[in-house]
Amino acid sequence: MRRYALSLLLLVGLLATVLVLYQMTFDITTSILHFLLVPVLIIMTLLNGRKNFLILISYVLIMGFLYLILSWYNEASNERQLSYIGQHLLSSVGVFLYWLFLRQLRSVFEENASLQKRVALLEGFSASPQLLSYSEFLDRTDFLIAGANRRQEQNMLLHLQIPYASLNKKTIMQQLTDAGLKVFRAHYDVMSQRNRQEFIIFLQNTDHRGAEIAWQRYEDELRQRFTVLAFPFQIEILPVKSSVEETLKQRKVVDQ
Amino acid sequence: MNLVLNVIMAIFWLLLLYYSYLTIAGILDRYGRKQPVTLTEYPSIAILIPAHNEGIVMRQTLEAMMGIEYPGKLDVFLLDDQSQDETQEIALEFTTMFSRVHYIHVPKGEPIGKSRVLNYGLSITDSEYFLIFDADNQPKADTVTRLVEQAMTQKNACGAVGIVKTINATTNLLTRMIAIEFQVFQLIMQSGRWKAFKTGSLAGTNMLLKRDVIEELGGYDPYALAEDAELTMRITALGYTLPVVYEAETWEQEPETMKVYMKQRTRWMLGNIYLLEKSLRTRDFWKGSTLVHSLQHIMTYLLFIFLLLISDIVLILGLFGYAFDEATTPLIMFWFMTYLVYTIQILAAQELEGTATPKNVLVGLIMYFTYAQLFVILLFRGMYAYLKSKVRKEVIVWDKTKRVKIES
Repeated sequence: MRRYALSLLLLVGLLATVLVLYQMTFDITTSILHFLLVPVLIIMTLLNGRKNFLILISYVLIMGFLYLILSWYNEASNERQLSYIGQHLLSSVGVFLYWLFLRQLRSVFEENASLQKRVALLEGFSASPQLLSYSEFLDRTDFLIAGANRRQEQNMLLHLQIPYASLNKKTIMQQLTDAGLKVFRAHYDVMSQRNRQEFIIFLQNTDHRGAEIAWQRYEDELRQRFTVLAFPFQIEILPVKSSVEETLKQRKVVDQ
Repeated sequence: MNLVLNVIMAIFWLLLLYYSYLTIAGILDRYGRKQPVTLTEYPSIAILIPAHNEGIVMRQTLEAMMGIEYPGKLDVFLLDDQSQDETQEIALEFTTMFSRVHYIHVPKGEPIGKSRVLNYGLSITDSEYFLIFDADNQPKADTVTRLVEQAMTQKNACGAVGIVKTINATTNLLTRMIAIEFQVFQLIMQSGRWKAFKTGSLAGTNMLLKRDVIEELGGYDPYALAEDAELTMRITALGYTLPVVYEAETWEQEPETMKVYMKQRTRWMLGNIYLLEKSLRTRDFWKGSTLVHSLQHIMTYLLFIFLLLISDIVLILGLFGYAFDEATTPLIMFWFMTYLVYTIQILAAQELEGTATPKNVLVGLIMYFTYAQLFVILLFRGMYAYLKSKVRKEVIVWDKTKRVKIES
């Protein structure tokens, strides 16, 4: 709300400046100078990037020099010079407020775009608070793999993939997540959704046999949730190499 | 009267246009994307820290030196110039614990000052490059690497200069204004001149130089009080460049009281008057890129202050009713443009540094009427001390800036 109020304030300031400026430009010569404002404001609106600051500074300096030349050429009286200064200040303040307004607007849009992106990412996964986001999952497993390597232990990965053509991806994924959270110790064995089709469970300090036992427990839970004999997803048990991503990439190569 | 005014105004024009041009060039330089560079091999570096009674800041400085990350060989030499406080004690704590830090006791000698201490430091080290930090400096961990990468890859570069930030900027109005002045200096004199003329200037600290070059120049001039400006002139005269590396930061403290400030700046002014005199005697200082520095020097330390004085006189006479009505030059408009260009530089520097808070902008708007006026007093103080030393045939003594304790 503060930013909204600030934007409104800037807009009001801008309008007030334009009004006062309009009142002051009774002089034909200087009102021609103010036509420079139009292309400057258009360019700033179109660019609306960091270079706008350069345009602002250039405008203020160029206008200052133009008024100076005008004063010299006209041998302007002190009163006239003061009037030029007033006009210059007002038009500069106007462009400055417009620059601030654009900057404010841009930051709101940028923040909005970044938040939307984040929301879209989070919406792609189940809303279960105990499930790690995929980037958190990777960070956690990297740490666990490093520790396991030092202790010369083995880690396994349960990889479940829903076919792309499945119409019930969302519901199947929800069931896999709920069952996973019920069967595995969420703080010991970490799990996550890689995307809308892949669900992965990282089992630390276990071998292939241990992973099969874990899968049996998981399967029992899933059997209670699915009535079909053939599960609507594929299951793979993979030994983890240097990282989870590396393991999954190698799996793809084998598939191909 | 009009002729005199017109000549003065012509100089005004020149200054206004030149500084406007540098402001735009500085902004363009900052917006330009710097290509990241990585070297296959990094040269050996000796960091030289001249110190005289720096106990109050020494621990923080050496801690920062230990925090520097550099892929090549790096040694830190603390050059202790006859300290009477705990400088030696603190330095020895570090030298006994860390191989990177070396304590060097500089023998007594004349003339007293930073230049002589640095010459001694150069004589006892043999690295390919050397880097100067003032005794209160706290550089960032990657500062040395960034400087070296640019010094090794830019055309004709014999070193590189980083930027200086104020650690105690928010302490009071004076430190705030000094911090703003530094930001403007870095935008106009460093980034702007680098973009416009491919020339940077040494800033006394956070500066890297190739040993071969300083040996070719015969070391520091021990009589120069503004040794950085003096060395810049000689380096540029040889055709070398000094790239400005905006990413290489160091933090230093600035005077917190007017007394300490006036003392420090009078020394700087004296150093610059000495350099002006030397410039007039040295033909090489008026050729090629060196001409930019020489003209800049005259503009900053003579013309700017002289014109500031004139603008003050015009203002005061105006206040007493003498309005220069018969003048054909638009004096008020010139005065306004001077204020405008000066303030625009400040606002541009603040925007680029990300320090344009309402308080800083407000301070920036009044600096022309307050901080800038101090330079008139400084010029007179400097001129008086310089002429006095000439008449009495005395060597001007180096006056060290008093430090304050700042908790990190």
